[in-house]
Amino acid sequence: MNSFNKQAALTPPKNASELLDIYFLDIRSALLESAAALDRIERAAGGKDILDDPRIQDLKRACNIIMDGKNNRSEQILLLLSHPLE
Amino acid sequence: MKVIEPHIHMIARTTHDYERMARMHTVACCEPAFWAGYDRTSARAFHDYFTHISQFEPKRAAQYHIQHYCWICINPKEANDLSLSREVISFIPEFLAAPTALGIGEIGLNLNTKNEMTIFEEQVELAVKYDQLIWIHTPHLKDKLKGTKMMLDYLKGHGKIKPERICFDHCEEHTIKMIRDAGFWAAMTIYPVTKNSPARVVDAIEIYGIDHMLVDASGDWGPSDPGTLHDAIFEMRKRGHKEPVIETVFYNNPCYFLGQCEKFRLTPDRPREEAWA
Ligand SMILES: [Zn+2]
Repeated sequence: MNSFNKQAALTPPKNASELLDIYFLDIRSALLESAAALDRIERAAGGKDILDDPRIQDLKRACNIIMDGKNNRSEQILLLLSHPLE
Repeated sequence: MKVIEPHIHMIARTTHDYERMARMHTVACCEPAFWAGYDRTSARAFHDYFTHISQFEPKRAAQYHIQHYCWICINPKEANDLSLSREVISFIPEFLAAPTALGIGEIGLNLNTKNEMTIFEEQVELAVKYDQLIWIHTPHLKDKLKGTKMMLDYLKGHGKIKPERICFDHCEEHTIKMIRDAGFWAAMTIYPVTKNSPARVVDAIEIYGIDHMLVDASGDWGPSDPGTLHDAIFEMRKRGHKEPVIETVFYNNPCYFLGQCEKFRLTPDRPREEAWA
């Protein structure tokens, strides 16, 4: 292993409250876009059956990770959306 | 602040993009050999393409005071045809001699097939034989995790590989750790729909630190923009990160990795022991 490979995290200069101020509207917007896209798909012809599509099921599981996950939510969602390693 | 774009397909971009990059203080860009938007019909088409990225693009970039470098290989999307791939491999050494060719890349996997892996391995051997740096394309979406692991396991078991001389590109949250734990460089591509956003790239830098990390915008035929690299710089400033740290990620780190090839002409503004301390 290389001696420079310290893998030292970079401390975020801003605190959690300041970061929430910066990102709250972005998070709100991303959630609204997701909700509206699912509504759009559901109200189209065939909308009731499409909810069983495995991709929709994956997205619902991803939502649970956002709700219940801790620290590495984005990594957990990517693992959920990956072909499994044998 | 000077910026280096470590991965962009300028063949797919307009001259106006060079002009914009210059205005955003980009001083160098690197173009790995990849797919052309369609499958080529003969090895000669690859020969023409390698000529384009090793001769024409450096001239076009120079008009904007941007140094243009290239990487040469048969890309994974067209590597399933073994005989075509081997014909292309036969004239790669001719292009590695170009004054702006930095190494073999972007080799890798696309759908993780047996033939893709065979051609990946043969090009790793070529890099070892000619003592070249390697730039690796990891697969997209669902295939990324498995494909990254396949290449990593192969390289870890190879015996003649120096991880410091190899960069895995298109890394995301689920692949960065295994790559860096093995001593390789990890590059993150900003490609907002299918890869990273500027914000997620900065998250990864905060979580894993700045050493052995690169960021690129990978502008090509899909929805992408050279400006997103500069959006990531702004994202770091927005979060209050200090200028020397930002400069290390977007200028010094590319110098540390690419500078291992003596043809790369830019130098870091301080040694990496100091920049990564
Ligand atoms: Zn590429």
